Amino acid sequence: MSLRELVVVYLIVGVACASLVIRKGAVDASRVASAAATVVIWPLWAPFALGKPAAAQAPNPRDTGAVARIERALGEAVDAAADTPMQGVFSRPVAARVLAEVARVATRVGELRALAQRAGFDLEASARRLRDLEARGSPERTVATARLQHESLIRLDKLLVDDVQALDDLADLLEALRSQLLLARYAGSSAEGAEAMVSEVWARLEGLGAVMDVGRMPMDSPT
Amino acid sequence: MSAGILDRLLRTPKEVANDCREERGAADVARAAIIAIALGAALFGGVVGSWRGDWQVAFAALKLPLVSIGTLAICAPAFYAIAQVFGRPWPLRAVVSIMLAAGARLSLVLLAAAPVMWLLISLGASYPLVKVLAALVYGLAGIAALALLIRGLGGERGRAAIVSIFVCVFMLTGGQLAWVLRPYIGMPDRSKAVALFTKEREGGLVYQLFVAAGEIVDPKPARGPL
Repeated sequence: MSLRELVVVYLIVGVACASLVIRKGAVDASRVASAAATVVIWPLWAPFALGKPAAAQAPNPRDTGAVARIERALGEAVDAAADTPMQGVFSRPVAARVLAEVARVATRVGELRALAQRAGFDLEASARRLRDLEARGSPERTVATARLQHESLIRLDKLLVDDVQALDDLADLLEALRSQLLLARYAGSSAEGAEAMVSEVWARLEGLGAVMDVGRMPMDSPT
Repeated sequence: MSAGILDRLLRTPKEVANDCREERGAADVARAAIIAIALGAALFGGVVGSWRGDWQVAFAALKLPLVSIGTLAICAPAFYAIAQVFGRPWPLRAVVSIMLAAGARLSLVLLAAAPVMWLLISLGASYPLVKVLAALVYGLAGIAALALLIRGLGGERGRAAIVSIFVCVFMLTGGQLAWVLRPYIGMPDRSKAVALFTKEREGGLVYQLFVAAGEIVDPKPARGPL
């Protein structure tokens, strides 16, 4: 294949990618510029022009390390509480139950993230469609349906963001609990702070569990 | 172009690399990086081309960004594949944005070196000296880019292998592309007209660098354009 043929093939792929960029949504100046850049440098720009904006994605707790932090903090907290008066309050079975609940939330976050990637669940696209329908003066029934769809997507997105935040907060709390238990173990200080934290951990897990299983009884707290 | 992103590329490359890896604002980084690569390489190319002057300034300013962006475009799939093989199952966007951020850092170093290069050319630097200096500046810029690349790959196993293989691929590709699109400084023989491309066959790039280094030590008429 000669250099000229290679350039032609390169440009054909670029034009194909650019047409996908144009078809992705409403055509405005930035989309045209993005499509033009895609024609010339599609190996570098197409992943960004054709992919879902990363800013719209809530971070995966497994990516941000929240689940790993929780697992680590739980293990260290159990070890710190072992052979101390706190052993009954924070034992290995208790940690296992916390972890099981965290795993359920992490799974749900994964499902919500996968859902957000699917066609028809794009928050930006639904907002754009709603704006277009309102601007065109479409029938009220059509606009109401689009609004309902958009509001549902907003709620789904909020659920995802809240879950991710909740896991991050729980990781912070468990790390603090671990430190308190270590302090109680080595300094012989009161474990009152740790007991309060354990109660807080269960309260937060109950909150997550209640959201996850509508109709399910809240988790039984050992405290 | 976001000046903030470029500032972060220079001051806190680790932070930028982490953001790219986790796809936080990766598209913004990519956009700013592509513009920075094009502008930095164009300015440095223009300065290098000013040794000969005339149309060579415009030709070099056009061709050097082509080399930089072209090399990155060709190497992007390879970098993605190498990262996957060595246990980094990251999205293509993350890998490409890390690579572009490293390329932008390279171009910013070129941009910073351009005034010094211009001064030396204005003071009458010889053709072989300009050739070697340009190669040295590129080497220095490459080290700056490598620092970001290494940080972007994280501390997991396989980092050294990824960097080594990618640097080899990048240098071979970049060197060959640069060689195909030469000259940048221009023909040393000023009686010849300025040309967009040379048609002379002169062996490889590495050989030419050795020749240029030898000519600095033992000056004699230059053998060909770079």
